[in-house]
Amino acid sequence: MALFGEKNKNQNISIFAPDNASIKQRDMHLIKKTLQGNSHAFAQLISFYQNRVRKLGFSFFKNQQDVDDFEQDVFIKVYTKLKTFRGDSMFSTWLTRLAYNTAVNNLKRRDTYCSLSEDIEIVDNNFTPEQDQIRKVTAKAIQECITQLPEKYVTCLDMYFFYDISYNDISEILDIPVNTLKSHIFRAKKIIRQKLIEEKIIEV
Amino acid sequence: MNKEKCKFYMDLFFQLDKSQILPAKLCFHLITCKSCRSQVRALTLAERTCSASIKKKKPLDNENLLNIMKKIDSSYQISTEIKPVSLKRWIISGVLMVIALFGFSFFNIKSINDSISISFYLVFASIITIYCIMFVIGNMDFFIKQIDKIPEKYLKKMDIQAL
Repeated sequence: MALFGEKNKNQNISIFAPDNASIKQRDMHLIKKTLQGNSHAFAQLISFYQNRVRKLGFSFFKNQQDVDDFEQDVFIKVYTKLKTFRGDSMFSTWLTRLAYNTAVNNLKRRDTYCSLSEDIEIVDNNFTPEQDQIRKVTAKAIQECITQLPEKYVTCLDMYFFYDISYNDISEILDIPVNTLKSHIFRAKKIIRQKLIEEKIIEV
Repeated sequence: MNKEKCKFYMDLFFQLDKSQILPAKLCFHLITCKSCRSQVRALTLAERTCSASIKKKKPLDNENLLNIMKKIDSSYQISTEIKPVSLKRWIISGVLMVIALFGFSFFNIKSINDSISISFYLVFASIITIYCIMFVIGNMDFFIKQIDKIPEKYLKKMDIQAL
C-alpha cells in the first residue's frame, strides 16, 4: 500500500521500499548468471533471501540444527530447480512456496506452526524507538489475531505481514481462497489500527 | 471530520493488497483528512517494519551460506581478490599528452604570441586535470579496497592525527 508523498520523519525505514520491478530485475540478472555457471551470482542470490528461509525454518522446526539442515535443503533445491523458474512471479514468492512445501513435507517439523510475531524481540534492525514501538504493537496485534486461527491462517498472516507476499501469491502458496484470506488480513489490519490508537501512536 | 466517511475510506484502505496503488477517491480523502492520513502513514510503516528483518541481506561470508555453496560447487571460494588495474591505456594516453604538450611548445614557441600560448597551456592543464580525475574515478573500486590493506599501525596514526 504505497502512499504518494508520505515519508516517515524517522528515516531508518522509509515507507518507500525498493520497488518490486527493480528487485525482480536484480534477481533475474542473478538467476541468469547462475544458470550460466556463475556460483558467485547464486551466493549473492542466497544472501538476499537467507533471512526469509531461516525465519520460515524457525516457525516450523524446534532447533537450530534442524533449521540449518532445512536451509541447506531449500537452497540446494532452489539451485537444482532454478531453470524451471519462469519469472512469472517474484523470485521471493517462488522461493517461499518451495521453502514452505519443503517444511510441510519434512518429518522433523514441530506439531504446530510458530508465528514470527512471537519472535518479535529478536530483531537486530536499527529501528528508532518509534519504529520499534510500532513493530512491537503490530506484532502484538497480529498475535492477538492469530490466537483463534487454525495453522493455515496463522501462516497466511505471517506471509502477508512478515514475508511481504501479496494476496494472490499467498492464496497460491497455501491453497486458500483469496476472499477468505482477505477477510482474515482485513480483520488483522483493523486490530493493528486499534492497537496503534490504544498505544497513542496514532491519534483519531 | 465525518466519522462514517472516514470509516468507509479506512475500510477501503484495509482492503488494498501489497504495493497496490491508492484509488483516486481515497487519495483525495487522505489529502483533505489529516486523521486518516496519519493512520494510513502509521499502518504503512507498521507493515514495512514487520517485513524489514526478512529483507535484510546476509553477509556473503556467513558460515551457512559457505556450507551451501560448498555443497553446490566444491571449488567455491568467496571472491575477495581485487581485479588488477590495467595501466596500459592510461600510460599510453599520458605519454601522448606529454608529447603533445612538448611538441606544441617546441614547434610554436616563436610563431605565436604569448596570449595564445597561455590559453593553450591552460587548455592542456585542464585536460591533465580531467585525465587525473578520470583515472581516480575510473579506478575508485581499486582505491577503496586498497584502503583496507593499509597496515593497522598507519591507520591508528591517521586516527590520532585526525583527532
